[in-house]
Amino acid sequence: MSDLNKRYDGMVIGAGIAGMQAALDLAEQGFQVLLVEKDPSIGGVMVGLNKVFPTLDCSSCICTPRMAEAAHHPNITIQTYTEVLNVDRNGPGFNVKLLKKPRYVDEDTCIGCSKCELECPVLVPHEFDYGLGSRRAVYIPHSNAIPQVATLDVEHCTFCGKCAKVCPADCFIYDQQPEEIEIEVGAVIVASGLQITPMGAKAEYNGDKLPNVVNPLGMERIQSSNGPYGTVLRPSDGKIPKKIAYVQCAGSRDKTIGVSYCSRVCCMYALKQALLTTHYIHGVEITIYHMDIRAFGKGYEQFYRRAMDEGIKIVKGKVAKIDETDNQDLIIRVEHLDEGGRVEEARYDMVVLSQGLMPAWKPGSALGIDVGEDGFFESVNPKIKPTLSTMEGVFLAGVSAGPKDIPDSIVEAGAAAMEAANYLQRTTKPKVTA
Amino acid sequence: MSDKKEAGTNGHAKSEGAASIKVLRDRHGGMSAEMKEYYKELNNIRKLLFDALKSGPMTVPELARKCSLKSETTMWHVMAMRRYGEVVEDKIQGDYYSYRLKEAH
Amino acid sequence: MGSRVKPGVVQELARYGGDTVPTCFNCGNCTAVCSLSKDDTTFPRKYIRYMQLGLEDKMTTSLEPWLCYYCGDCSDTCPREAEPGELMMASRRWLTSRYDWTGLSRLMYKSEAFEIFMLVLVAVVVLLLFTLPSNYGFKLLSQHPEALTTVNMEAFAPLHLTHYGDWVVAALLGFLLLSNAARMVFMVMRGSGAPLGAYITEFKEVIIHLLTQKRWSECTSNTAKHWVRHIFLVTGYATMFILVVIFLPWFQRPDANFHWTSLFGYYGTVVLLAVTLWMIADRMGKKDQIHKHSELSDWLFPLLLFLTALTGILMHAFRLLGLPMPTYVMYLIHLMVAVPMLVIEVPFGKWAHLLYRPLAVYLTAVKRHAPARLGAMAPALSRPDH
Repeated sequence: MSDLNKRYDGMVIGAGIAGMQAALDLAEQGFQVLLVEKDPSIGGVMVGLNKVFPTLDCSSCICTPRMAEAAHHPNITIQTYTEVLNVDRNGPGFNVKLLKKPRYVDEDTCIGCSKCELECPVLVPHEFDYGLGSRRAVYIPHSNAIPQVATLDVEHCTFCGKCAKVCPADCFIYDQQPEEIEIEVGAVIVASGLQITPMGAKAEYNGDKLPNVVNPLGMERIQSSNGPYGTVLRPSDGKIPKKIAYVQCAGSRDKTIGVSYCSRVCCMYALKQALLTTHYIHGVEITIYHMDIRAFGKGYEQFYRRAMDEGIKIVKGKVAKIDETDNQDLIIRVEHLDEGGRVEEARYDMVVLSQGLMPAWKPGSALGIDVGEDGFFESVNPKIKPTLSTMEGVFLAGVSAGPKDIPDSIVEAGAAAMEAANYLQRTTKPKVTA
Repeated sequence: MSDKKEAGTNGHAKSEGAASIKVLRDRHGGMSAEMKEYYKELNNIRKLLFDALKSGPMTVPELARKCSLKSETTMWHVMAMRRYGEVVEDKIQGDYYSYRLKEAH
Repeated sequence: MGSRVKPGVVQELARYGGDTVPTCFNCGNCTAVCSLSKDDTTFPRKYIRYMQLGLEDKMTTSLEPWLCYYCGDCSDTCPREAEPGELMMASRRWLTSRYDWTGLSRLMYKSEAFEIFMLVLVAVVVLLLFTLPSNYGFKLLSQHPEALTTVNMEAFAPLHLTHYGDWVVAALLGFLLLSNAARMVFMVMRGSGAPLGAYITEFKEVIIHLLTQKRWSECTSNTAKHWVRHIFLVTGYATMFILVVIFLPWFQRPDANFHWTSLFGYYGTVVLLAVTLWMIADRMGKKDQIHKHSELSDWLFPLLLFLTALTGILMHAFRLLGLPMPTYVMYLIHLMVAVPMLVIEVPFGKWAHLLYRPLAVYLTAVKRHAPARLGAMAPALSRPDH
């Protein structure tokens, strides 16, 4: 299946917004770029978001054009559903070993018609909806996915064979095998992105046990018009929530869960989700419990003020416990710091845990660059050269190097691409001068 | 991805006739016991929900009560049915939507 | 009424075992996770804030540290690992030293050497009592050669003198403890505006909590063990105390014949030995949050009790075995442990909590009768960033 070249100028690991930007910026300068993505589609976390702060642009509306650009760029080759097994130094460049996971579908002939998915008898919790929605065992992740091709999840397959029978393009390859691919690259940009703090990290919140305690990315999906419910409902029983609480720093600034840093985005996404929910549900009451609101970016403080003006309640106090009532409402226990330390037990229909950002990829020896105490990749000089990893020729972009929001990730991706371009110019003869 | 496709790599399965699903099944040792259980339960729940909905639109808590299912399980399945066009929203009853089977065309 | 800020409180608290004050960022998790923290008495966060700001007045007049039983939930879940539970513990030590008018408590908590010195000093006084006077102890014994072959307590520690000694110790202990407790009441209630009647109607709280420590049972987290064994310890301790102070003529009989007081003695001894051993083992294991930061004063508590009970029962055994000299020597050792424990540790050390805790519950209840004051809690206290 490998129809890759033997050599690329640059390899970008991770095709989220940072990876796509880095690949595009490098490709625009005439370098041949391989963009590697572990998931079936490119787009990363951003393509699943509802709207972005502070502009309230539709996230997929501004993300999908980037995806399409990357997919159609003549100098970019996209390799999805592929893991990076190993990156070894070879002179100024690298020998790279990739693992292409079997889709059991021919990517080149699949026309993305979804007939197989509609015929498949198995329903599976959908990763794209953080388990709240469903997919079939053979599926196209979402309507904006690139490539628009089906993937067969063999773990959940009943081996009924219907998918191949209904396929109009005859593109199922049931005997496909995982394939190791070896290539050479001149430089590497790591944009491996984020995962959120596990929902069970803080046991007192019961985030992994109570259905109405939801994770913030799940809430993005719930709010999205193409989300699992099509409208904002709570997961336990489909009730339209009238009281929602946000628990800030639920997965950050907490040594007991090993995440002592601030994740930078949670205050803003909570404010954004809260504000939007008031637009979606008439009369909804939303309280954000926080230790302090960190609205640090351009237009962020104004956004915070706007949210308060529009009736979002901001309460100072870290929530300590979340328990469930008989009808699956939630009781949170918190000290109101601004009200003389009054301890309150308040009932909510739904609670969003503002989980923090953690690195998604821990390559260990597969990629010999240093990792900091916080788990993110270390920069040789975080102040002056933030995109340089501890290995020459390997550059960092986006959340892989530390928590950051979308604009910062994009800016950093551009910077990483520029550093990579300089490195390639220095170490190889210029490929294209035109 | 690439517009050139070399014969003998990706294309072999097509021209020489697709490998049967048996190959995949044998390679993975068939369905795991866990998966069998999951699939059986899935179909049971779906049948319960379909039968219940035949008597008219219902909210998730109503369905859950009628079918003696956990309400979050009911919710997930109703939403799955909604996604794949088997049910649609009906009226709002209080804080809940009710759902009805989509008529076959 | 404004509050005076006293710089250096943070450093001072560190000497009482509370060295994590600056680590706290005042999120309120500790207070919200605490099942005892409710209504108008919420802690630990607010008290830690007083420490950070150096509000000594607020610290000395607050009762909250005594309302905490150190289940450790707050320390387990503190996002900064600032050990709020241990800070409450340190505050109790600090408050004990504030209530104490002699200043001994402060010296003892700040210097382990001084604490040991004080214990040894009293032990030496006891030793001298048995070696110097001619009508007591070893000199008296030398006048009674027959007492060297058969045990005769009257020839070593004549009951009438011993019983006086008992009363002196009890009076000294009572005076010191009660005067300190009176200071506590005065410091805490001054200007509270609580009506006098409330002091009477709520007095039952002292008795109830002195006997049951029932607030402890309201802790949600794995504290049943601590509560139950603590109750046993208190019964054992009280039994022995009453036996020695009131029933000594029957308890310490010249002959080795059985008397019903011995039954109580056995009960007290068994309970004291078992519970203190269990406590010592737990402190060594450091598994429970409550035992992670034991200071000397926390160790002395079970250790001295254990030694008192052990030497007491050994003496009793030697006596039953008819071994005169070992009996007398063990008796002396027993007193050299028990007396310093009673006159030093009870009024000045960790033991004082036996009175301060029920008093605090009582005074908290009394305070509730005070007319409400607006702005009693300055909102500024909650804002670490301003």
